[in-house]
Amino acid sequence: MSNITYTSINEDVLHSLKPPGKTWWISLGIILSALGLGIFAWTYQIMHGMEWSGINHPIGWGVYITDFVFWIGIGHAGTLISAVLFLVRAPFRTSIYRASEAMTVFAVMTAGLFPIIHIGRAWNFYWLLPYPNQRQLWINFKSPLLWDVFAVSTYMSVSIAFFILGLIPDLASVRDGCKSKLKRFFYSIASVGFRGTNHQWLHYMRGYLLFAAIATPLVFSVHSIVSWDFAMSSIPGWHTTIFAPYFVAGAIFSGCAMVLTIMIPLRVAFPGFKEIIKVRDLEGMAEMILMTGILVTYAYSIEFFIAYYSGAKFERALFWFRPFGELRYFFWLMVFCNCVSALPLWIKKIRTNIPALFFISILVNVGMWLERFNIVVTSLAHDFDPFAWSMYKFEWVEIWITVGSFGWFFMWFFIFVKIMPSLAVAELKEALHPPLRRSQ
Amino acid sequence: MSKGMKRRDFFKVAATSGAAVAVVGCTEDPVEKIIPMLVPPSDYVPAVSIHFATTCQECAANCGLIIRTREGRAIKAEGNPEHPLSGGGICAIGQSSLQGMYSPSRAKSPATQNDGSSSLIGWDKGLGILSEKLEATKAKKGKVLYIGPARSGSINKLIDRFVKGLGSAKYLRFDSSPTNSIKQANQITFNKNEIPDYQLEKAKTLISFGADFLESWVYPVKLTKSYTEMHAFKHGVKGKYYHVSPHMSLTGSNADEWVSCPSGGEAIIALGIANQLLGKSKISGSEKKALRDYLEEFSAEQVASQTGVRTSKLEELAKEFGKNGKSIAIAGGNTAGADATQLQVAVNILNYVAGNIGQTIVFGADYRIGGDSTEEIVQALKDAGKYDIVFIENVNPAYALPQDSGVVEALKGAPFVVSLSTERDETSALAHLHLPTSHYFESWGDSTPRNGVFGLQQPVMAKLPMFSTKEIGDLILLAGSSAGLSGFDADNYQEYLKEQWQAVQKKMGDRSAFQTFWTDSLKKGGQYRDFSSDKVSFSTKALKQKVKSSLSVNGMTLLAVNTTLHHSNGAAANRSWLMEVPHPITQIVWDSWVEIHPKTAVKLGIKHGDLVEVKTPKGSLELAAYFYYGIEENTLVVPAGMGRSVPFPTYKSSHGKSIITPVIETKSDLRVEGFKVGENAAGVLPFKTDAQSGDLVFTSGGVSIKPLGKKAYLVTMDGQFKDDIEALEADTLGLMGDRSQKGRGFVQTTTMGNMLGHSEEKAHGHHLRHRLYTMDRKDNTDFYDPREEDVAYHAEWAGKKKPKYYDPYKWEMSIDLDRCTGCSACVVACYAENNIPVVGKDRNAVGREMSWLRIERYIEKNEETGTPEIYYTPEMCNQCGNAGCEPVCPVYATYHNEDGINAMIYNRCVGTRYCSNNCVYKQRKYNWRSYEFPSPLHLQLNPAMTVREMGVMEKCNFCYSRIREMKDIAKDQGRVVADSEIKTACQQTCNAKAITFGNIMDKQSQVNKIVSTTKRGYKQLEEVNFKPSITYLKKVKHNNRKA
Repeated sequence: MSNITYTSINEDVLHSLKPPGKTWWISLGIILSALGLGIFAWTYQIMHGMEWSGINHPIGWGVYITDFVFWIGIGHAGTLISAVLFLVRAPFRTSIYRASEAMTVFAVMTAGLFPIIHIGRAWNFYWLLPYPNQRQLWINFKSPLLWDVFAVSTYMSVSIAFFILGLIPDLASVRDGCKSKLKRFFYSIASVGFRGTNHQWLHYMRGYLLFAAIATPLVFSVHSIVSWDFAMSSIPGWHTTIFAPYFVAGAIFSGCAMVLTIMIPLRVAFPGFKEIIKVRDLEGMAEMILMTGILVTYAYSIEFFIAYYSGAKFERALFWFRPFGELRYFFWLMVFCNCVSALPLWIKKIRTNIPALFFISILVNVGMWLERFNIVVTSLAHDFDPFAWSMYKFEWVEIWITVGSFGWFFMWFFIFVKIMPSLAVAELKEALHPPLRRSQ
Repeated sequence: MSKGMKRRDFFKVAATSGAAVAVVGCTEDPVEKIIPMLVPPSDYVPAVSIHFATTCQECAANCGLIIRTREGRAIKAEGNPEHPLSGGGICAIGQSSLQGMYSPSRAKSPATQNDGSSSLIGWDKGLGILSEKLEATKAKKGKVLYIGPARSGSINKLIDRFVKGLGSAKYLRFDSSPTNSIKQANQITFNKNEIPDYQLEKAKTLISFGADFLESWVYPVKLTKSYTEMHAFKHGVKGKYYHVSPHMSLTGSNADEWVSCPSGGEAIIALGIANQLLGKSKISGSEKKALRDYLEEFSAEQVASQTGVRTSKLEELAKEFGKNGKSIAIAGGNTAGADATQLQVAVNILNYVAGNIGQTIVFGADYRIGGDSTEEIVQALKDAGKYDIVFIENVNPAYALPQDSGVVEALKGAPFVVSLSTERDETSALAHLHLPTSHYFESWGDSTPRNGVFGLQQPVMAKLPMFSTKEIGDLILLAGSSAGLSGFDADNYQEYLKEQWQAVQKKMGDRSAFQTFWTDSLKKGGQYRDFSSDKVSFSTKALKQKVKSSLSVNGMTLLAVNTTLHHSNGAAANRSWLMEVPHPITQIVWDSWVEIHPKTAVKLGIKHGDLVEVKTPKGSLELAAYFYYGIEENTLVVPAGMGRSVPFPTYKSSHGKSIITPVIETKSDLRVEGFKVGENAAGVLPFKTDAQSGDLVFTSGGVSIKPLGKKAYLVTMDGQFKDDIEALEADTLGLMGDRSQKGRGFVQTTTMGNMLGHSEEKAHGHHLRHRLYTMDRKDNTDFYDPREEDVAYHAEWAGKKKPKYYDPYKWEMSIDLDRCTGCSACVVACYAENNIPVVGKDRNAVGREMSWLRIERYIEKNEETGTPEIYYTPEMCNQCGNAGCEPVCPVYATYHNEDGINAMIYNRCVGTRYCSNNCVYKQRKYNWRSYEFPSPLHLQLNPAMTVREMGVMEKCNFCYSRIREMKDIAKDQGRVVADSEIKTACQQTCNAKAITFGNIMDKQSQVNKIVSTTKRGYKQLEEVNFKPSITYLKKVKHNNRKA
């Protein structure tokens, strides 16, 4: 800690804003191609219908809803880290919260697309919004899908506001370091005249605290509401009271894993970050993963127990189908990724081993995608009427769109690291001992 | 078709993905004219349907039809309630008759054909060629051969005169169904060459020796009705039905018990039963002695050793059958085999011994079912070279007869073949001149399916403009007069028909003016009266029939069977509805298959769904193996009537073919082109006919089957997999899987004992359903107030009088599973009524079926006998009072309307598919794309129903367009809709009368009476508390073997 100074933080962080190099451009090229695939596939779907996705009768929701819940889940870690951990003053939060908050915003932006992608007449998506119209058509507030619309849009607006609020002092320091006039002009607009006066800091800190307090319940509400898309229905495997806490735990689980998946390459890409994003901080994330992983495992086992204990034959049949039916590979892969792969994190050596952490984080991401797939698809595939049971078969359009969603997400992230300080400069400085004259 | 993107499409894309690159887009909807008449007649009112009575010509039973037309186009075929044969309903094939008229494979205009190349010529030229040929034939005193369809009516007389005028003996009527053996056997046994009236409704016990009377045997529509009269539970009575056959067909699956026997063993069993009964019979004297001598060798032991039917079973059959004339045995159909007449005689003897003749089997009706002897027709066709002109009208011997018969070669060698077929089929492709006749919905005609029934057939709409055709009657009149024959001077066939009907008027004893009689006949679809029964006496000639009491086995036996959807004549085999509707037992779509006993298959190394080669002595077929316990172990069954090679709408799809690489589809995936669906089973049979009657034999011995080491592309619509919780007990032999209901109670059964109060029934349903909530509620099963009260409360609160729920209507339905036979005619009717798109095999394979009504089929094993028991249940939207679909829709695209229907507003739907997910009955279907109806099939679309666009949800709405129409009429008259004024399409066509629909709020309505008085009623998945509007009535079983 001794060799980190206010200046070195400034330099290290602002270094990331230097004009991009070859690697950045090549990566962006790959990302944009992925996005292109997605756009092509979506265009095709809009023109020709949902035919080329694996969704079928009776599995009305498939990869798109899986992707939606997956990205919303990813979008959880950011607010959790920036708001909840801020309120509880967790020390490992400081170095990673900016990037994870950016991740949140982009993940929610991605997730927000999926409900539109998955509806049959995407061009009418605005019908889901309550807007006055001369036909006096209104929306159905009983529908969990509508709660979703509100939950996600609220979450999105609050997390964007919170993100921008946190950026203000840092953008000001970027502005101060800018040499080009044009950049200076834009950054001075973005930093809304922040000069670092005591008065400003006072208001800023109060405001930040307030936002953190507003954002905190949203962390829990959003995913609870998303879970009610399923829990409010009648389908065995969906109709469960445990879903809200189970989904929140899962979301934090996947969000923290995604933070690691992003922060670790970020440390490699910008060597200066290594000193700031310390292994201890990553370890903190790993501990979160370990805890939520165990929560998720508990939720899985409780679901099975309840299926047995309730004696409801539909529930039982479904929970037999998941591990032993035709979609069993997805289930067991999920169990491996979510319940088993995080367990080595009990060992400190592994918890602090960067490649191991990266690997585990990827597994958890895959596992959490599969978890959503399992919930969405297996339940629909095997519900009440055995005559109408079905199988899921992936199709190119949904796969391309999923690939495209990663392209969309990373595109924003790549742009973000080049135009905004990806670590929280001001708060990092706050964590240092102030460079008092007498200490020298 | 225009290139580029349409404005609408542009908005679709631009509104949602601004960054989207416009890559595709060449879908232009064809311009359609809403009203086909430029200057309509003055009494024509748009949007009002007009009904015409006419006659069905799909088979010789000639049921009466009512054709509903809208804006001058026929849109729906229904049974004529006044007609004694149809009595309101029709079969699946009859329902599909509209697709016969709007068939893409219809011939466009007259054509000359030479070595496969055909050129269209006009009628002038076509008729010119014909009259030239006719004159030449007449001049040199040549001969003509005329082969037409099996039918009754005045046209037969006209054609006979035409043929005789040209010096030929007679005109032959072709129908491959083996029915002549019945007539022949009746001639032998009772000196009466006719198909009698089988009055199943009078019987208490029915034994069918392989006759699939619910599917295709003689007059299935009428027999279905009388069968349900006899067999459905009513007032504590229910008849018994045994099916004795190597194959448990759909008909057999309805039996109380299927008795498996080897192919050819039916006659032995029939005589075995007769032998048991003889002692008690009223027959006396020398006749009894002669019979005793004859039946001696068919002792129970002998029968048992030959057929494997246990003596105890035979005794049981005999006991049940000895009902003093209150029983009936029938036999025949495609399973009858090579000795069809002998089988019929054996069954006649059985019926005679049991005293059924004149009781349940009544002579004097003389049903004109079936054609002339196939043997005779094949002989005539083989000699086609000797005839100067061969006429073939609307029959397809080149397809329907075994290749081995040599008919195709003979026709190729004939000097001049004229086809008068409506469609371009396999036979008309061999003709030199094709003069297409109009479809029977566009033509005049009549029929006399039995004594006392005079059906009229009138054109229900103008001839389709894209086809240049002439009515068959007009054509014969023209041909006759151009050949210079006398008696062909009527102006047109309508005039000729009127002349003929003056005789009918006399027969009916009608004294009114002819015009009145004629109009009345047109309105009623004909004139009907009872036939007078004839007394017949037993002739000991019958005892000369040598029924072999032992069976020789040579390889496996192949049966080519008809089903409710497929008929060996093949006429309906290019209708997409019949391909799309799953075969009731196997649930296979768009394919043929071979049914095989799992034990036999496993022995031969065949697994369920394998591609196998079935080899007959005369050919082989590559088919998918379908495991089925309802078949004798040495028998294979293939459906007949598939494998047509005529233009079909292809409905090809690349969907489901690729996970990673894009597969772009264009319009060309929906061409109408020649391709084959399934295989023609009759084609590979060795050509054989029954020696006594000349009936075509649909069975073949010496058949072998072997796996080809590949999986077949087999698409079945049942979703029960083997890997599920109940599968632990299920039979996993050869990957067959578990097709049971897994204890979910969709089909519930009860026993006669329960119904008569002799025994207690185990309570079905969920134990949590009736728990007490700690809330002060009237109804302890529900958290909520009844909807009508809830709505009334809120309306009052808002100071409004409306909406009022369930006042005066709440539409409900009851479905009697003891009546439903699973025939699937209702499914076809639903397709026709509701503009449901056909999607084809590929899309069916990946869960894209659009059917609003499905017959769910469950196969469970009888614990005692080990034989499979098959249950059918029609499943459609339950219009739940507390539906799962309604609350989850974010935009109110589906809502509960005042009549209790889960109304669906297509225009409002955005396609979240949440409603479908939350429907526990899985009744909602989603439009995965904008479906197309290849021309001219699109002309059949019902204008009262929206054709749904891609991205919206749809489902059964109890034929709300019909409800709307009737409610409007009632409203204009200031009254409420009366009971049974509205019939849903499925209810209307149901011959078994399993479906009752009506207003439950009307205490007098039939549905209310059934629902409130039945002891058999139950709701499916009641524990989910969706409050479905459909009450199912339990199937009643005679014994308690299985629940």
